Amino acid sequence: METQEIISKINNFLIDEFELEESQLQPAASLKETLEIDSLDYVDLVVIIEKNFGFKVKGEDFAGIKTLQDFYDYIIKHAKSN
Amino acid sequence: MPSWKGQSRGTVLGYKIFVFTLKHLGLSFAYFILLFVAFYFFLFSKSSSREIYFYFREIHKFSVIKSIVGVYRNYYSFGQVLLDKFAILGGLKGKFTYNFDGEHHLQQMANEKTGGIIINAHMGSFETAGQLLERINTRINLIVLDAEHKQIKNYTSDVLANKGVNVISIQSDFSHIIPVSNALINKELIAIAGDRFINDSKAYKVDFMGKKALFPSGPFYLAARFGVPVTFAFAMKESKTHYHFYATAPIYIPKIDNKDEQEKILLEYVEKYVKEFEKMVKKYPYQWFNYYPFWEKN
Repeated sequence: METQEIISKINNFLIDEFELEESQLQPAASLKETLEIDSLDYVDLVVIIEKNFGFKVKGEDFAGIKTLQDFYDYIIKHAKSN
Repeated sequence: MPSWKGQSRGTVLGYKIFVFTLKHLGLSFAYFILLFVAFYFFLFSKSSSREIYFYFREIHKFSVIKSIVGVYRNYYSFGQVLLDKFAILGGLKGKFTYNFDGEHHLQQMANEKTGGIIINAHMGSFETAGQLLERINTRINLIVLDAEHKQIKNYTSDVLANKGVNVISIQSDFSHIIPVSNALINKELIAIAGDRFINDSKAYKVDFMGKKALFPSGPFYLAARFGVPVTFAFAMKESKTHYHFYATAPIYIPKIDNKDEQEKILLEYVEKYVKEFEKMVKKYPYQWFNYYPFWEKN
């Protein structure tokens, strides 16, 4: 899967599942403060990542993800090596 | 209303004294020492004593004298269940007796391999129910606040690991959601307290013992998201060496795509939990170990 394709896929599920606007999806946006991803949304993220990108998320990897760019980088790295 | 700030009561030194006393002098002597330890906390832990006093005086409507005595009894009971926990983990479980209301519900969840969430509270000693967990012969994941001192946690985690119990710490960045989710995907059991939450996690305001208080929605959403059953369970101390275990019949929480509708459903189930929890708080008033402001105050 190409980088741009992965980013589009991520943006699509953020728009569909988390009711975010496309304009909110700025790479520097903080997941918690700006995109208001809450503790319950994190549960959905784990399930959606496994379903869409076919890899299991590990707790220690996820701990450093603060912004949307961190999230893109994390998925790109793991989806490509999968 | 504040969430849990993160400091469990007690120090590593305190735990070491408990463990030493238990090993070398026995449980009765440890209880005797505890009379003085509890008195120390009663005299010097002003902020927590204030909250326990509020709980007895304003919530249970005890008299002033009964509320003051209640503060001491609460510290003593807390010490007792900690001692019992270490005694049982240390191999003295034969000294304790148990009776079970609803054990078959947990047995059913284990046998049918549905996975599930056991929602308990900071009441009595759920970890003491490890005796029961061994009987149902399934892997269980115990979710705890990360605030407990690392050395204490390492001690309990090591002992629990040998008993098929995996300890998962709640983290402020929500990274604990991942091992929890993976455990539920693998149809394992999760045990989590429903009476405490950390900052930024979602909570609902519910009537509890006549006043509004916040309760986390996370455990209920996990159950809905992964389609696993939920049971409310409590292990209460009834005499020096006897515990009474309660578990309710498993219930399934519907998963709805509409967020607002889902929240209404979650609130309904949080209220069901609070009703069960309230029954226990009324029956065992001295065994709820909450040392921070829980209710909205006027």
